[in-house]
Amino acid sequence: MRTSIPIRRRRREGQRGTEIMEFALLAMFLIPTFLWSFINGVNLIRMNEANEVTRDVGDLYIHGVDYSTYEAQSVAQKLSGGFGLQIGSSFTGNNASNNGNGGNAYIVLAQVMYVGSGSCSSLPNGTTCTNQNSYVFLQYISFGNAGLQINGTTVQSALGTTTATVNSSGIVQNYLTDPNAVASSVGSHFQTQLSDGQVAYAVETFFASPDLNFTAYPAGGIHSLDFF
Amino acid sequence: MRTRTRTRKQRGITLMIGTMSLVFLVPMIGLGIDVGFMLAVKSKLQASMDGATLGAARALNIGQTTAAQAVTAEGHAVNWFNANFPTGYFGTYNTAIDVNLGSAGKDAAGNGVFDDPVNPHLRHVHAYASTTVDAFFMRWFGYTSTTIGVTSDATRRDAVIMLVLDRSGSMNTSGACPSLISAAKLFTGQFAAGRDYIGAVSFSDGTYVHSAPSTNFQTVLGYTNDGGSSAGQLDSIQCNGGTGTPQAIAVAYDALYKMNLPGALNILMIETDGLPNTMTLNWWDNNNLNAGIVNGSNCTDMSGKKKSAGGFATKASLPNWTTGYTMTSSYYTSVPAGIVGALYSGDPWQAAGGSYFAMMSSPWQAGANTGDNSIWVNGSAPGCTFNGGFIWNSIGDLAWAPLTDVYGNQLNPGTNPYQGAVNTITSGGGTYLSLAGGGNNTTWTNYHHAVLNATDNAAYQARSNGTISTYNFVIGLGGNCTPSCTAAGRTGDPPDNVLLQRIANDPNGDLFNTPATYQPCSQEATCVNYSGQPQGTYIFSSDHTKLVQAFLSISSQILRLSR
Repeated sequence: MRTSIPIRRRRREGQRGTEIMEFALLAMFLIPTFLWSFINGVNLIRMNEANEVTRDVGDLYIHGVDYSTYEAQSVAQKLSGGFGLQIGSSFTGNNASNNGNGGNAYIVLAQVMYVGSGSCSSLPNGTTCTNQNSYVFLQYISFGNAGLQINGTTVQSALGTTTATVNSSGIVQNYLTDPNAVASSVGSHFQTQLSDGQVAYAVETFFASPDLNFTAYPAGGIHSLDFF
Repeated sequence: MRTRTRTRKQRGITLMIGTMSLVFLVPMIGLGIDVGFMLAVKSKLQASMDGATLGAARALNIGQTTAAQAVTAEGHAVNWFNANFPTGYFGTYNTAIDVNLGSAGKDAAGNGVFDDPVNPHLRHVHAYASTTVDAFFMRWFGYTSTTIGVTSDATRRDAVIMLVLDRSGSMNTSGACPSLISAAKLFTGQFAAGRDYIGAVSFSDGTYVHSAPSTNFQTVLGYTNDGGSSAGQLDSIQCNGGTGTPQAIAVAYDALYKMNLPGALNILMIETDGLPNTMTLNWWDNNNLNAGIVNGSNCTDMSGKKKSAGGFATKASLPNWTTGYTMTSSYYTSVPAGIVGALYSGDPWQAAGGSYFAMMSSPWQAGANTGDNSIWVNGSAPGCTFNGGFIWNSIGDLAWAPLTDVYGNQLNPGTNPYQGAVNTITSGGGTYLSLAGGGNNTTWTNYHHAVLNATDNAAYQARSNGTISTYNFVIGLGGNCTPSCTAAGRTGDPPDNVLLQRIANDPNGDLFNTPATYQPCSQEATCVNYSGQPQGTYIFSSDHTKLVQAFLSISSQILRLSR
């Protein structure tokens, strides 16, 4: 018993800081591992949710919900709860480009159609069907934050955008004759070209995860695109 | 020395224990990551499949036979799936979609596209997809990969559609008639031959049933599904005459009612370029044995007697109901014999110029009607002032008009009438629409309101019927004011947007034009929307060059509803 006290004292003196150093060594591996696991785990969960949001918004869209209205955009906001989709203050009527908001989400909905000779035949005689043999936008609606950044880069729709005249409900005007209505990025998504006049509905969502950003591990965000 | 030895042995023990604990910690973390990864892939796979089957269901119109349509739909399911789930997505491999081999959820024959066993007017598109995901951490325990499978099922209801096409004179003067035929044909091309049913009526003063709903509609109406066109019933349309909208809606609805397919999607697809101005009425009140002929009229009944000489006193003295339309198994159970004709009134610009009523015409006129004939239901109206053809202000023989047309459409509905209550009179025990004034502006205004009410009521009855209720889709066509019309300072009396919103039961404002040409129903004082009834869509096409886009927008809406 008499010798145990000095031994303990001597061990403390000799080992002072050893455990903390060992723990620090371990932490160099453990902390990044836990951080990586946490960020990726949460992102996987969010990816699940994002896929479901895309599907639900798309399901409503193809069944006729008009997402150019505030009420419908509010539904999308509720569906994507937790993602920080902002749609601004209430508005009446239609706003198909309600995309100047803040927040961490951006949603694009579009109707695209392949224009063949049959579709062009509806034009009056003498009118050139500029967009024949192209995919065109019939409707283009976007809301949320069009300036959203993921990993430092502003998000870009995989569907492309249109500079054609689009009315407040998102209907693209003169889609047969205005070259700005062409959806040039759409064709690459389909292995088989759509038939003349065939319409596809597309829903694209972007969700950034700035709350998970750590210096060494930028969390990035989630992008989901589905055709219906 | 002993102490130093023990210290050396214990040095690094924390590191060792910590490292050993990683053997358990890392797999546990990895398990979470692997499972989360697989769930993320599964959710994307499911969303991709849902999109694929919905896209395939929408493609069921392509093909002339149901078998060909099934093949097309299966091909589209694959195409849509590949667009949604690119090869190698998230490091997956062995990805496959199965739309034609036996798997759970398909019919007994293992078909991916099949009829619903309960509702024969419902088709399913069923598909299964699978993909393989590598495990990152679980491979330490021997689980190198996992195969994930999902199924998806989408349905499409057959559509039963009656086209109701306006072939009035203004469609001719504006040059819209050929565009209407072309657009209507393209519209039919969006639906599935052999499965969907489409028929057509066209109307001016009278109505002509081109075809009852038929699965052979592409041939009958004049569209072929390979991109070309052929001649059919729609090609027989020539535009001339008035606008008897209430009768046309009623007759078209009756065609749907006779089909009696409540499991399908029943639709009235209405196009018009103006205001309703003609109703088919019976001036004989069989309940009160009362004829709506003034006592001083020179009209004579079937026995050659004037009313003042005892004519028009019994049903037997009046002509029978027309043979032009069969009411057997019809929604309209009984149309009595009587004094039946389609009374044409002028449009507002004509009334403003002193032209109020012009003729009594046959309710039944072929697609190429001449428009102007002046008869009772089965021949001439001897002695009457309007017996000589198209003569303005020639209805002095009429004492009153009934408060329902021959199809039961109410000219003065008790609930939510579009134009409010019309003026009525009582005579011989009955209450009738007043024609006071004998054909002047007062008479015209009352009749005009009654026609608008009857049109609205015809659509209401079609939507609200308990057996076959319809979705009403409406296209209002503008641009019917010719240069001379514009030069005269007129508007051409374009379609009444509120009336057409009411017919469609569409709560929305103008979603088609920029700027919008009309407001949402809730902002229009005279608009009423019934949330419990099928809600269709109204589109205003500002001129006939946009008719195709309008028709295709409607077909797109219908295909959305049919899934």
